[in-house]
Amino acid sequence: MVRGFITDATDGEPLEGATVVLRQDTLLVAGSATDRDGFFALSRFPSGTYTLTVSFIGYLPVVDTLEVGQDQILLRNYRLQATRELLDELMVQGDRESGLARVDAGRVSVRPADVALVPSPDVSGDLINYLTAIPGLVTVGDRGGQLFVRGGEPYQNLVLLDGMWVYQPFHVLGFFSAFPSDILNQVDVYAGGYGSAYGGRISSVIDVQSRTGSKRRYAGALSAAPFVTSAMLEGPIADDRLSFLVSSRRSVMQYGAENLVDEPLPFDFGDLFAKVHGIVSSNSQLSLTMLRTFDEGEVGSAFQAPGSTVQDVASWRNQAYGLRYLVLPRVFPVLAEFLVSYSRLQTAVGDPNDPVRQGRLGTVNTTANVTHFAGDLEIGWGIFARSMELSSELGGLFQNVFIQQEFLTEVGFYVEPSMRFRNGVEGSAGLRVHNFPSKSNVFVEPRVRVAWNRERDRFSGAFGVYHQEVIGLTDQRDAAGVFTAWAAVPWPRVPSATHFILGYGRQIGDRLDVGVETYHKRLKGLFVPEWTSLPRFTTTLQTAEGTVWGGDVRLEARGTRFLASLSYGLSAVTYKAGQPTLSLWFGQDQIEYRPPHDRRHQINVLGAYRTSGFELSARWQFGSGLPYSRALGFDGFVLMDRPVDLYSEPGNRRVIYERPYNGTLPTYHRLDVSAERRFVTPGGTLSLQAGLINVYDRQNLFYLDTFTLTRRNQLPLIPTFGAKYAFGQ
Amino acid sequence: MRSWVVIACLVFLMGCDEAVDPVLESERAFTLYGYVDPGSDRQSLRVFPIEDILEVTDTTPLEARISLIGPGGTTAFADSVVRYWDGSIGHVFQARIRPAFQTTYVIEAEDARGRLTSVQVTTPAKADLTLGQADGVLGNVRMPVAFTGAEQVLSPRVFYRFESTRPPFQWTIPVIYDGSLTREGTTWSMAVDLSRDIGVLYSVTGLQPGTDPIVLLDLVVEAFIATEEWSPPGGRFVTEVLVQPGVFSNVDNGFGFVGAGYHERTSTLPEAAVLRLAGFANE
Repeated sequence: MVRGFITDATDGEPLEGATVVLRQDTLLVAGSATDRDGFFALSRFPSGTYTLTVSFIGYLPVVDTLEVGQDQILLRNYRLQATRELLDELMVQGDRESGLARVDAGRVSVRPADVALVPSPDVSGDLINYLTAIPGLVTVGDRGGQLFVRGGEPYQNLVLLDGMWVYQPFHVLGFFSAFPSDILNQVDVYAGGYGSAYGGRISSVIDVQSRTGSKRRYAGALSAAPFVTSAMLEGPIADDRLSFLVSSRRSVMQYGAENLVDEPLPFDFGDLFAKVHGIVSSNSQLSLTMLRTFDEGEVGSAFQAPGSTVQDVASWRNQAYGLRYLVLPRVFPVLAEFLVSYSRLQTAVGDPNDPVRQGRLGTVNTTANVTHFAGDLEIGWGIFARSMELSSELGGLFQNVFIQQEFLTEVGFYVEPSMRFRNGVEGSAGLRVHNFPSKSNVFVEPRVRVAWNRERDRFSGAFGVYHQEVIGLTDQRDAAGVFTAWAAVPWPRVPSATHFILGYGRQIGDRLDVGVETYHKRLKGLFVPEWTSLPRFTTTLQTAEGTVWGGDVRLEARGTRFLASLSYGLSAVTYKAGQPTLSLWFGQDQIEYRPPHDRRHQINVLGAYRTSGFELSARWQFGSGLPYSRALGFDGFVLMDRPVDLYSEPGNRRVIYERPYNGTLPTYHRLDVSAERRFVTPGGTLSLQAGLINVYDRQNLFYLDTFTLTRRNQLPLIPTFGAKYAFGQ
Repeated sequence: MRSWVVIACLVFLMGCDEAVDPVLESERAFTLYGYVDPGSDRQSLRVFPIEDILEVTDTTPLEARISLIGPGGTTAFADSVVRYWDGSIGHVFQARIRPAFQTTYVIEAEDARGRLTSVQVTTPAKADLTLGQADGVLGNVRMPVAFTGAEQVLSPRVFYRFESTRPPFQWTIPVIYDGSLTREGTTWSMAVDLSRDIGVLYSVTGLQPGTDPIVLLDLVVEAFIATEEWSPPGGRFVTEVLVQPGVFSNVDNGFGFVGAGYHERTSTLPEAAVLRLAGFANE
């Protein structure tokens, strides 16, 4: 067996997707592609003399001669030298494993170069702008910080950064997330059907792998734009062995964007990312990662007494600290990964000095993942344990304060063999055993992913069962859901989802990719807030079941000077809820409705063109209206359980609902354009960008308090411009 | 081809709509709570206007004309603003009239836009309350009670008026008997448990059994006699169930519940020997 890591010789960054081929004379013996850590493993071949070739587009190939003895495990690490001439072509020609149309049973791989193509009010790109171009991924717009994936709710998404859980990583201004493109290595977005290594969430996985800092030279970037300023610095701490990468962003709307529009933009956010990566030895690596974010945004005065001048503020703060240790034991043919992390989320809404609603969620995660290599067969397995603390204080106008605190534990393991066949079929079939001790429940979750590659065609499919113990509750009065209270589901039920995905993709010529995917999700044991006409935030839950049907079509064309993509997503989400009072209220035991994230139609058009030194890009988004509950009005309620003394019994205020989610919000659509030009200077590269956000000034809804009719719109037409100076890159 | 153009135009026009109106149009004007009481000279009605926005009620008088229409003619209600213990403000309308028993009345409430909310209420017939002879053994003394000729009986209470010597004080303590009634036709029965209730009296007053004797002056049995209509769907008065508009409501073109009923009460003083068995002291 021979195994090792492939890195970029200029900065020590791991190279994913590099091809490693083993030949004896001219006969191909074994071949593999490197993973996100740049790791490769070739096994199951007899002893002898072999020629190993490592190649990757944009790099000079490496050829090595190996003498391999019987049952010998060789470790070989290679550094590839980049060829400057080819690098410029990379962005457009490409890595054909990524791109919007390259779907793989719900999985889309995103590279930093993809992110940079989407118009953004910052010179540096941001992952969120690319994510919202993927059909089936829905946001409430350019303010909010919530992401809905194929009928799932935001709290059902698992967002990982180098293995750390990040609970609410999307900033209050929807153009920004905690993941600027400067820190990205690769992102795998699973809109469903994810494998056994992931668990505890029932909708999707966004697995972000940050890049490591250069181990050879110092590099950095500074950028300024009307929305954010950012700084990034990387470099060696010890040459070729230890590096750091630090990135920080801070919103500056009060100094920048607010002066460009005729209205206040009361939003503030920022993030700080830091990573230290070390090569401990030729067969092991260690990294420490830290992420901190904060967000604040005014949302009106819905929680204040009438006449109050205090503005309510919705805020959230993420903290995540993680350690990742990667090792190739010298005597075993395995790759082992150990992850320990701590993640924390704090949310609040109300008077910033005295919030009426607060929530906290903290998690300690420990995971060990091991992969055995045996020729075309790889067997992955792992164990995990996590403990969580959830607490919330829920107060507000027209309700009493409600406080709760919970502690939870989850433990389990998984086994997932994956196999590649010579006829182009590849796949994995796994089992995840997930134990929820607080619910006295153990679940065995089967997961299958299959793909068949036939020249230019690719068929793929996925199936999986998932469970989740923690849920997020939003307020029915808030049509955009800016505050989420986290809670454990009531004993003994644990919500589950079963995913089915079928996809087909075809490469037409060298420049056009077409992808079609259909999906179905069955959601069981969901818990949604009980409907009540009392105007209050409730954590009293009712059970619900849901179904999601959907499909999307994607077209993507790439050339040396252009990229164009068009996607259309169709989705239908239906919930059936059954609180005991329904038969009395509506004459039926269950009621069927469209939940508030059911966006039926979604269109994304993206275009990028390079000419005369300029990179021009445009993006148009369309989303049909989301459901919300319309009321007949507001009155009061007095419980007439006796001859009530009307002079001493105050009663309660009440919302007169007709049926849940009987209304539809206006459609969302917006056009953004940008132009960017780079100037190479002796010390670095200067990028200048100008653009327009919301070109035709669409009044898209951001926040609507259906009780007080408080409305906040998303961003109006805003011109943007920015500059970025990068050195050492 | 033409149909596709029409569809595309419709989609475009739908997409252009930026307005959102979260409140449906409604002709309902008011939500009313209260009851018509043939046992009282003053009638009261809590009135909530049905509004488009959830706002805290202020002291501005409601623009509402409310009247009680019965065989004797029409009586107007007048607004009164009440500030409750929790700081909230409510509008309770009052009318000076004593309605008749077993008679149908209509309450109409009209707002400034001419929207009319109404409710028809029939007062109950006068019922009979009879107290039986208290009897029992030491530690188990009961007194039978019967309400006859009543469609609905709510809120049964027993008021104990008694004296303590240490400290010398005259007390009146109510003991709640909700859930104690059994029904047979229009006859409702329960038993006053004097042996149990004396424990309640000691507990509430802080007096010490054996040390602080209680001398009973009299006891009053009271209940609210209502019509059959005052029965909640599902058989229980639960806020989370009944809060849904339209559930347990008899108001037309509005919401709420307006019942009819009166308080029926009578007093007695059981024999001294029986009271001693229950734990009460002699004079």
